[in-house]
This record gives sequence, structure tokens and C-alpha cells, in this order.
Amino acid sequence: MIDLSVKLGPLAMKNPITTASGTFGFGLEFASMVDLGRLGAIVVKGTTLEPREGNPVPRMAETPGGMLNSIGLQNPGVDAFIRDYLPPLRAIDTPIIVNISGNTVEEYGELAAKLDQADGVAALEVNVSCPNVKHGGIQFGTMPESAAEVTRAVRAGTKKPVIVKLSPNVTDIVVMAEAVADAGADAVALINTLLGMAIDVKKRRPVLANCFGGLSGPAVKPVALRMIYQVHRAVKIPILGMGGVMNSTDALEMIMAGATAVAVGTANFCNPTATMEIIDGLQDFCRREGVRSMEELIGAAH
Amino acid sequence: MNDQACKVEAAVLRHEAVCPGFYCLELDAPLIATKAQPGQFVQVRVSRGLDPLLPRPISFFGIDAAAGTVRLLYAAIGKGTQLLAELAVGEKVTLWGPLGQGWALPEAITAAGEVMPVFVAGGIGIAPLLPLAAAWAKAGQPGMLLYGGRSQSLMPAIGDFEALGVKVALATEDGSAGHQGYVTGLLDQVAQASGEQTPLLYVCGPHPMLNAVQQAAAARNWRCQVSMEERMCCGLGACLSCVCKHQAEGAPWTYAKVCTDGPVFWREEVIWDD
Repeated sequence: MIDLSVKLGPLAMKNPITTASGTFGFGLEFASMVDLGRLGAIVVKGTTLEPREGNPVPRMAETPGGMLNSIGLQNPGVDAFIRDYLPPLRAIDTPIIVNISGNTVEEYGELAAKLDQADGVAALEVNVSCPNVKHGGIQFGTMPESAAEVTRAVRAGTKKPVIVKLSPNVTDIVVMAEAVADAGADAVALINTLLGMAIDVKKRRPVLANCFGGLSGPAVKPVALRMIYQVHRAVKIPILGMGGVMNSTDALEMIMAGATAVAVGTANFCNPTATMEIIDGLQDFCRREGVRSMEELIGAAH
Repeated sequence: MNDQACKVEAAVLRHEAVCPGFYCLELDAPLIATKAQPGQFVQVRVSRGLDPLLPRPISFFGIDAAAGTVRLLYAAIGKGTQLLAELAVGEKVTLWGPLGQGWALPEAITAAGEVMPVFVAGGIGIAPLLPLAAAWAKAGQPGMLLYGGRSQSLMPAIGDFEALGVKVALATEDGSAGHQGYVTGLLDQVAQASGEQTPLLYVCGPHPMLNAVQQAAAARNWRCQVSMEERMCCGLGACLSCVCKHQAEGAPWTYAKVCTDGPVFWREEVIWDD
């Protein structure tokens, strides 16, 4: 066994592979098929201060090499998460990362403070980039100053590692990454989904009830790689890379572009054991190539 | 949750068109067959490549725990199911399950002896009702099937129900068999056939048909279970794509997960506003 461990800023992971928020539920959904303790970390479904009912259906549309989703952050709220969903996760020998979303800067701060007190939460992933929820005019994820403000609020609320998840739906991802790094983020996660749509030609209407949705899956991987590559050049904090990773070769591409850790998302839907196969594939690659530490591979394509 | 599910590579034992566009796929999958319940489903990977990307959820049409086999009946209507139809005997296919909450079986029904099961199917909705009918037949109450379709030639499995002793009534849109019109036109036959027994409806089909049948059941004060259909993605309750409006007693409505809270619900649990 080759040591695949990495450090995503202050967060130690036994290997670089984690799950993308919203694709792995609260973890236990996959427990009969996935050895959860083998994962480098688990990122759970996005939580908000109050429960959210989510968007009307249809919420999902399959596209060539990808899919659109418009779930609308359906979740039981942070208090119910801490009370009902977190306790069984504590038994799993892997860090639990909680993804948070707020309507206001203050809500982000409040969420961070609540989760700071919660035993069993290893880190926070701050979603400033959900494409499927309408804020009151503020789009935190597309304006550097707003993203920085959210980051500062979370930073003030917790001592736990703070990972800020960035939207690809911006002109310059580097500006966004620099803004949140300067505001105190320990790491950046990229990319969230790309805003897209599909149309039902028989009905002459959008497929998704919410009209637009977030595109994920292998179709977005080249965009993700390009952005990870750009951000790795520009900022010093580590990157949690994601976007269409289906297999260990895709994960290695992310790492060589500059990601320290890699989240597997849509692949969990196509193949529930994808994460396990990717960890095995990283082991095989390192053995074949004589790699002794993941450090040798991070950013190797630069 | 999903604690029964396992992922297997299953060999195709038989694969045949049962009528135009409808295929029956028999798989060697003992790990799944020994745990599967009527009304549950499996996720089937239809492509070895990336298009279509997502698995297809298909319910059990036959479960043989002793032989370790399951049968899936599906309509080849989209890109994914058309690819699946090309699968040859001897080839392997990746699937995982069993998934979801199945039908209320005879042993779960109080005073089951006083109940007449009524299976109500629309089109491919026939599939998950066959293993349920087998369970009721085994309990000594084969009950009746109300089966609606576009045309008799597009309505598979009639003989399978008859072989279980189920009384079959058909409705076809083109009048090629039975009542001309929708399956709801057969509901009056239930009252005549049930006699002293109380009808218990099990319904699977397109959403408007489910809604029409559950309304009729409500008007007659019959108990009724429905198998809901919604665009499904993970099938494991993780992605929250396939939801329906759900009413738990004394609580505000929420979106329930069709894949893990269902696909089978009691009609009272579902909010039927759209």
C-alpha cells in the first residue's frame, strides 16, 4: 500500500478522494456498497439555516455526457442535520465536511458558528455558487467582494478548516479564488456546476421546472481542469478539484492540474462504487509509476 | 437505508421481445434475487461508455429466490432502453439493488383474508404487479387485474396473470380488446367481483392514470397503493432528483424521495395537486 495521504490545508486526508456535495446524500445512502472509512473525506448534502423544501419537478435532465440538476438545496436545516444525521457519521473513520449555503452574509456566519460547536464536523465547505437558488439580488459566487465577505463571516464563526466552493459561471475564476484566499479561506473547491438548460421539443418548454440547472458529469471536466490549472498558478491555498471525474485517470488529471484533493460527484450516480475504484486506481498508478507521495503529482502538469 | 443493496455483474440468461417494443430480461443475480421484494427495483447500467450517462431504474417483473434469478420487463422507448435491448444472452450487465419500498404484501395487511387485491396497470406499469400478484396467489387470493393499454398487441404479461388464477379485465384505447377506453372504465367491475371482500387497489402506470384511479378509490373508500414515477437519477436517496409531494399525518408537506421513500406509497400520503 502506497501512502496516498494529502493535507488540504489544515485538513488531513488518508487519500485525495472525497465526494461532491449533493451527490452522496448524508453518506449512509451508499453504505451497503461503499466502505465509507476508505474515503479521504465525505462532503455531505448542502445545509441551510432553515429547512428548504427544494424546487418543483422535473429537477433533473440527462444530457450527452452529463446531466442538469435543479434540486434547490432541499435539506432538513442545520439543526436537524446536527441532531439526526451527524451522530451516525461520527462512527465513520473519515473526516466529514459539511457544505453550507446562506441567503445573507449573516446566515453564513451563523451556520459556521453552529457547526463550529458540532462534534464530528471536520471542515466546512462554503457554497457561494449554487446556481439553483434565487437570492435577493445578491449572487455571492459571481462577485469577488461578496464571496470575500461571505468567507470572512464564516472565518469569524469557526476555527475549523474553511473550503470555499467557487462557481465556474464567472468571467475570471482567478479573481474569485484570490478574493476568497485573501479573505481567509483555507482551501478552494472548484468547480461547481455550469449553468445550462434543456428543452423538450414536443412540449416546446424547458425540461427543468426551474428552467435552468447545473451541468455536471464528464462533459464539464475540461472546463474544470482549465480552471484548476489557472487557480493553482495564482493562489497558494490548496484546491479541492471536481467536475466530471469518472475514473482514476480523471482524478490524476485534476491532481496534475493542481488539485490536492478530488471530489467525485456525478460518477456516484452512474456507478455507486466509483470512489472505491478511483482510490484503487490511484494506488495502481503510484505503484506502476514509482510515485511515493501525492506531493509528487500535485500540479505536476505545470 | 438501502442496506440491502449490492452491485453485481449479472449474466443474461434470456432476453426476448414479448411484444413489439417490450422486452423481458432474465438475469443471473442471486445476491439481488434473494433479497428482492415485489415493487422494488434495480438500477441497470445500459452503456459501457458515457452516453447515456445514468443508469435506468427498472422494477422486478419476476423474482426467483431459489433459482437466484430476476426478470425485468421494460419498454424500449428511449436511448437507454434501446441500448439495453441489444444485450445478448451470455453477456453481462452491471446492476445494483434491490432498491426502494415495495408493495404491502398479504402478510402486512390486517385481515388479509377479507381483502380482494385489485391490480391496476397502465401500459408498462404492469411489470411490478406480477410478483405482487404471485405473492397474493400464494396466499390463496389471486384477486383481479384491471389492465389498460393502447392496443392489445402492446399489452404483455396477460397470460402470466391468468396462470396465477387472477381474473383479468382489459381496457384498450383502440378497442382491440375488452372495454374501449381507459382503465378507469373497468372500476365498476370491482364492486361486482369483490362481494363481501374489501377491495385493496395496487396501481402502477402514468401519473394521470394513477391520479384518476386513486380519486376513484377515494370516492369508494377503497384502500389504495400507488407506485410513483419520476425522473430518477441515483436511485439511492442521495441526489433528491425524483421527489413527490408527500403528506405525513399531522406534519407539513415535504418532498419525499420516490426512490427510497417509495416508489410505492399509500394514496393518502401523496399530494395530488399536479
